[in-house]
Amino acid sequence: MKNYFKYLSALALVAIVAMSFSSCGEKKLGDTIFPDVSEELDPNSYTYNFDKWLKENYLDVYNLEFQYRLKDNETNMNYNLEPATLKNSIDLAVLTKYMWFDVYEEVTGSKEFLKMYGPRILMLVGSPAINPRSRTIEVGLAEGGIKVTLLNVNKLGNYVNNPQQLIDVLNDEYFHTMHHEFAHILHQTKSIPTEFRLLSAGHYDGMNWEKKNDQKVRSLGFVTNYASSSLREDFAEVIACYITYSDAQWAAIKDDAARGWATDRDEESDSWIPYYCYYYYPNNNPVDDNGESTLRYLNKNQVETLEDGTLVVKNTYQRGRLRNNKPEQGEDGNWYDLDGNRTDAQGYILDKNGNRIPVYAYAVEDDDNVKGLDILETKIQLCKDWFREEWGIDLEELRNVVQARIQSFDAAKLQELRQQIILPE
Amino acid sequence: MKKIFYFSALILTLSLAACAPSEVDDLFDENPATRLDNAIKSYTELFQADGGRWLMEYFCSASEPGYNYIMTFHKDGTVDIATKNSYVNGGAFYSDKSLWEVVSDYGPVLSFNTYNSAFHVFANPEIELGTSGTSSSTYGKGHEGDYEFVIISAEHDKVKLRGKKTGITIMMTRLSSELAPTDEDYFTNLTSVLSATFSNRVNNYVLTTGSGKRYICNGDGGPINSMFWSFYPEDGSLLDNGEYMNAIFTAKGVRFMEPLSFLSEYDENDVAAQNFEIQPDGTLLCTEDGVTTIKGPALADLFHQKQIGWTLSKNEGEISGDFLTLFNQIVDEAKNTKVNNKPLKYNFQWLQLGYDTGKAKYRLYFRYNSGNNYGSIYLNHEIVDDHTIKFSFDPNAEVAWDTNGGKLYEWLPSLRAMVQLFCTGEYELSATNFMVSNPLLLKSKSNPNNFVYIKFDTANL
Repeated sequence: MKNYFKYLSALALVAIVAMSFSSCGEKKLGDTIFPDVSEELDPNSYTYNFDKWLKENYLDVYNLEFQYRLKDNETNMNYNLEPATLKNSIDLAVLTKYMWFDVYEEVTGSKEFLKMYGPRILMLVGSPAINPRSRTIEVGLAEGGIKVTLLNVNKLGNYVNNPQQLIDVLNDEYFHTMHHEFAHILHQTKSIPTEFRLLSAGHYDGMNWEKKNDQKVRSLGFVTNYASSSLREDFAEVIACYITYSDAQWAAIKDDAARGWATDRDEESDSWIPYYCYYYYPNNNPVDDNGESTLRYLNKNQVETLEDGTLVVKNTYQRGRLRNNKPEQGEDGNWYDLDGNRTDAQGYILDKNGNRIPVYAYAVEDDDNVKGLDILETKIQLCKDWFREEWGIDLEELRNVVQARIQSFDAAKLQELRQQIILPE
Repeated sequence: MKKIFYFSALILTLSLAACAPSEVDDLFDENPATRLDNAIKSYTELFQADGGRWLMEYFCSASEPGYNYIMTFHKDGTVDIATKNSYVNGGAFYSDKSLWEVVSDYGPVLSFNTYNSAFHVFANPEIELGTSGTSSSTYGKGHEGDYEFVIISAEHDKVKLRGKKTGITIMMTRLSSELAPTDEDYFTNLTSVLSATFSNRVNNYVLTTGSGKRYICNGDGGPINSMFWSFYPEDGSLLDNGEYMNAIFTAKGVRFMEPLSFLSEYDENDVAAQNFEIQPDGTLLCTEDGVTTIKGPALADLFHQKQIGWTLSKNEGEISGDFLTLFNQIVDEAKNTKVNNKPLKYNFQWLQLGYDTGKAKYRLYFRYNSGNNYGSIYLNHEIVDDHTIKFSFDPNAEVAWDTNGGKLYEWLPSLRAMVQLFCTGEYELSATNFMVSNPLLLKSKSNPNNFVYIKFDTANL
């Protein structure tokens, strides 16, 4: 009896569970909570032609959303920002394609590289992002290999009627930024070469980079002061500058990097201070009447090199000690200063050949124990190697294509690019 | 065995309970995403409807007055934004076109997401107010204004928004073409209404609550028509009891950025008023309680304010009785009275009641001929009540007149008679507009036929 009751109870339990399952399984799932959002563009929209162009040239080809309508929840809400103008957004859309996406396509032979590694979102912001405390300005951001934000787009409006100025500004600020931010995306995928990491170790300063002089940091092997802020910015800056800077700009950078630099200001100053690569002594007198040094600094453009290699201060000559600022005429008809030196009628001392004596200039000694030029060139070479080995891309060829497009850019080209997108009047 | 039985019973009960049909009905017919999508469509249509023209009462921060914007929402996704404020186009009327959308964010959000030079100046971080290099500098922040607004509530003709960053409540009302055929008309009319409602010559306005408590209203750091207000109880002081609130002036009246909560803190019977509409007599009436008012000062107090000179009107119907007779005689005597056997030939121009800051005395002030031919007779007055004054003059006082005043007082009997007329009995002051109260009617209580309208400064010269 006991067993019978036990079996009966077990049977009842199985029956109950079975009934439970059968009664609970009938409810159907409802419709998706995500409503169908048509991907069709509205032909009645004022921006239809622009949106269609963006879809065909960015979204369909590179899976990239070109966000020209600002959504502030997609920005850093700590900043106060303004949206980009529609007109500048159109200019930047066609120029970004021409100066960035098409360049990679030309160099790699397909759209696949940027489709694979390019950002998924390119967002435009009209104003710069300004840190009110430090007054530093950000004009570009890259976030996790997904999104590149280009700021200060409304500034483009100042240059729309001057294509050469426009392309220079675009190159310096926007395409430089794009290549810089894209370099971040790439090194977040394949890491920065170890050798590069070691080249400037110990010289990075994330806190005070904005106060540093570009020329001074070049002598330490950094291409810009921003590059001196951290390893990752250094890497991105070398690539971006290599691609976007002209030969003349690079010659100047390398010249800076090979020099010694000094300043007569307090190096611990809270603000940006000028540095100089030459010095001189007024009237070639190293000390004044009190025995104090008279040393003064000069910029590059204030000095010239004579045929024999002597450095002199431009258009500056040694002057005699004069009474009433005038030389005295001797019985021989020549002019003399109070010390008996022969001068010309203006009081400048003449050498034995009758020529004015220049004021000599001297190069500041490069005593920072860092071979800036060598380091900079090594960094460039490492970036080239990294591009070739990791990505199969010839960085030099990329640079050549970019530079050729910059050189040939003119009003006709700008107009041709703009003609791709015509909005209603 | 008992345990198995109880266990079986428990399972049975729970299973049946779990499998019972749900008794809870869905609160909404549609899922949240569909409802949000529908709300976006609905709000988009609302903004576009009936011409799509709206007035936005925009506040960028608590430290600035509000600014009027007229926005016309088009179905092609563009919006025309018009304004007239000191930060755009040098203060002249300006309109620009850009894009707008209702987007999903924290609920439906009205977004002006491409740059509009009439509007986004308040979001531009490069604008530096204050002094560069000091804590007052706003570089990097600018005005800190919003361009995205959460839609809090919407009716056909009224939408309540909240600035996404600032949290400031922004009101939008549908604007009919009857009120202003063009956007520029609205701002032209607004300027006229503003100058008819406020004057920077009037020092104080008075807010009176339903319970009768009175507050003095001033412009904070500027004239009150700059729309940054300060308040203090009539029996208090700005220093000890000052309350501050920014406001916007629209064609209908004044809306403060937030309710004046200090009113209910002083007296729990009073409401925290926020909206005031212009009444036919020019005063402002609170729409929240229908009782609280903002008016100009009592007429006698206004007359007494030192920065206003009151010029006697010479227009027909605006000067009467002995005032008219004597004024005409003064003009005649100034021309024909002989001094040293020669007619004066003075071209007498006007009479004014006002205050001489140099002598620190109230006066009857006049001008004749051109150039610097002004004269003063120091005619004092006392305030009898809110709308009654009484003049007095002592010809034997140490300073009874200045040089020109003394000469003409001696030479022109009609000028002496005019002084005497002022000093005869009391005068009642009245007005049709109780905000600016310009002109005032000055009428003799003893002879109502003797009256003259007096106007701010040189209004009728």
